[in-house]
Amino acid sequence: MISGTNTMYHLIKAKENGARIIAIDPRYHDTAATVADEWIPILPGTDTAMMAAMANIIIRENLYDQAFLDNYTIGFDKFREYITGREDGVEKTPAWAAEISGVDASTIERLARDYATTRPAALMDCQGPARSAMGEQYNRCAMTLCAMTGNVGRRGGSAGGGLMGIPVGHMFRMSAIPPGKNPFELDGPNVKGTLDIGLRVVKRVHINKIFDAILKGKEGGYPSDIKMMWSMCNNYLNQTGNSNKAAKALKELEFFAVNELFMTPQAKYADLILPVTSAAERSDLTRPWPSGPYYTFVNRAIEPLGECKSDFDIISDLAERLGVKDFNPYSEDEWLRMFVEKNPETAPQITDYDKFKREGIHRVKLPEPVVAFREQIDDIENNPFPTPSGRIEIFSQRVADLNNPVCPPVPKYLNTPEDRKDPLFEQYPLQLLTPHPKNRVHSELYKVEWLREVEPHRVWINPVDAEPRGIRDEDEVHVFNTRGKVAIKARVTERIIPGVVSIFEGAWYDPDHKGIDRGACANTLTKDAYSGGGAAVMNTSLVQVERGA
Amino acid sequence: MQVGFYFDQTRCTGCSACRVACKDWHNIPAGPENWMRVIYTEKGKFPNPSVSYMIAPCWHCLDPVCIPACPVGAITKREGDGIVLVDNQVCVGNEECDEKCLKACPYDAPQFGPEKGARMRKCNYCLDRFAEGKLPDCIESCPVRALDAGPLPELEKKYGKSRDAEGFKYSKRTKPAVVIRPKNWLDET
Repeated sequence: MISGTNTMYHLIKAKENGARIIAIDPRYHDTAATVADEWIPILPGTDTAMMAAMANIIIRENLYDQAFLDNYTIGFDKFREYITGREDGVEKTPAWAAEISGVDASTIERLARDYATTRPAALMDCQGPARSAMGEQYNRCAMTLCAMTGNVGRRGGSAGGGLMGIPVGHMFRMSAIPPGKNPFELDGPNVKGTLDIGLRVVKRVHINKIFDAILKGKEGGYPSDIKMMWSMCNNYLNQTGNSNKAAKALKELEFFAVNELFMTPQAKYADLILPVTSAAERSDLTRPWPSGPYYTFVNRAIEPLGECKSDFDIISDLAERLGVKDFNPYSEDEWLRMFVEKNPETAPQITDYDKFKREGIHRVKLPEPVVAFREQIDDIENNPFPTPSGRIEIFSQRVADLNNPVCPPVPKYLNTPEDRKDPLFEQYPLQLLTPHPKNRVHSELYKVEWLREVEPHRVWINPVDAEPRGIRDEDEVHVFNTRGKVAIKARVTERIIPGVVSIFEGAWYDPDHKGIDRGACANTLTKDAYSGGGAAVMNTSLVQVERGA
Repeated sequence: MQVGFYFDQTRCTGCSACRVACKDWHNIPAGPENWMRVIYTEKGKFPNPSVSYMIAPCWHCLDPVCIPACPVGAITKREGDGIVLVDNQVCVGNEECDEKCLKACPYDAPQFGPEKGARMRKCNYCLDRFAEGKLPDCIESCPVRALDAGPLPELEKKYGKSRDAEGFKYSKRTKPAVVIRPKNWLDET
């Protein structure tokens, strides 16, 4: 679960240069198996408890960097009150965290001392635990540890907060056709910069709630009664929480159109399928996931086949029929040239568009490695952090103003629906993880048999959980909860912590006549919910497993 | 000069890009015929499991036992570079000879498609690329640079002569053309 282009290669290089690597994960994944000196198995959703106990040790043994906290952060005192128990009467001790996380108290203590006394140390909090019922607490707590140990802005350290790559060639800085204003949103609240997820969804629907919104409309508190949906570049039914609910919602729409290349699980519900071009049939700019340092140009290899048109041509043709004048005054190549030449990031880099197009790649030579927030650490007065206070906000007043108990202003471990304390746990005693697979990109490439045979779709289950259920390796099993049931083969393995099962996301939803998902799409089991801060809850689901019929 | 492979087992994450690139380059359909395979080994008990991957192409052995095993002389070893090749048109198919080459090979390198009477095919060191001075496609596809290829003495000079690893046993009889940097579990525990 390491995010970033070829991060794996860089981690290997770090290890070969002597870095000690510790992997903390419910699974002994391939990254851990390749580079980790130590694997610390942990129960899903409890990393924040473990990190809070680490903070406790670091505070108790005075291992934190007071000068760094004084110069670059605000609110450490309030976090300390939570950690020491002065705030809520519960000290966040290693024993407290051990009971929650399944990690021994002695291991937590050792990890805390190692992390605090090794300089530099990079705490790489990635995105699996962030996609959970309290995801933001995890990233904020990691960020706090990075600040406590003074690792922010240092070469070999890390700033925490989710690791989104270097700011060169970043996919979020891609040029795009100006979207214009959505008339529906004009009278809505100004949400620019707000952290208030409640405010954000007054006029928009949270991505993980679109099918709930279709089913419930205004009566359910959503901004409108949705009658039609036009979907392109996605497979939401498969890739947002609760696929069975999504299927029900798509059936209730008056009209559903998709732009598609393939008969995806979602496209099966469409009234109209517009055949869209593949990447080989159009030219485009692409960027590395999630960032460079390079830019790529994908040249059209063949003319569009059959009736296929690009998404943009489909939209432009429709705009014309709807009487929108001059919707698309430029050709594909004119747009792409503008995107390169007018983007403040690429303009100084790519001075010859035609050469870039011809060669298909532009590499950026970095004078030195990019270190996040180095400017802030070197000169905080002139380069404040991009926060209201200009400092790293261990306590956030903006979050405090939300006054939302599930979104506290300092990072905290909180109980959530479908954690192990939920009464549902009695009936569904296994926690489900839905990690990204190595052999496809989400649900893309799923139909490529070369890739499928590399990693047959199976549910990981520890022998401790498999044996009492009479499940052997390769047996057909059912994984189910109140939302749905999937049929899948078992992979009985010592590589997962007992009490947890794991199904790679992205397999195509394929319900049979009894409603059993024979494709074993992970989201048949996940919840269409979002966390206090707005994270899609994909890794907080309780399930039961039994032998399949 | 005999050519061969280098495999750094400490770097391999099991992503199988080599296997897929091989099928792509040689246009082999999904199914049982895999000129490049990735052998998976899992050992140990929670919370101390051990995992390793080992690539498995044809090792273009110095003393290939598949050659004498073939009843019709379909397999040959090239002079000079030592690449072991099969003449698919001479091969009589697996039904008629009962896969004698595969039974002889300690590494399961000879491959057969799913069809009745399939004739043997296998890794040919990307002969077409080799002729152009390029590396085999599996080597270039590896995102963590765990693979290399070239004249065996050069590989030995560059990477040493270690030849045993989890998922692989060096056969003194056939002498596979490979050097390996093994994942040493003893060091890690």
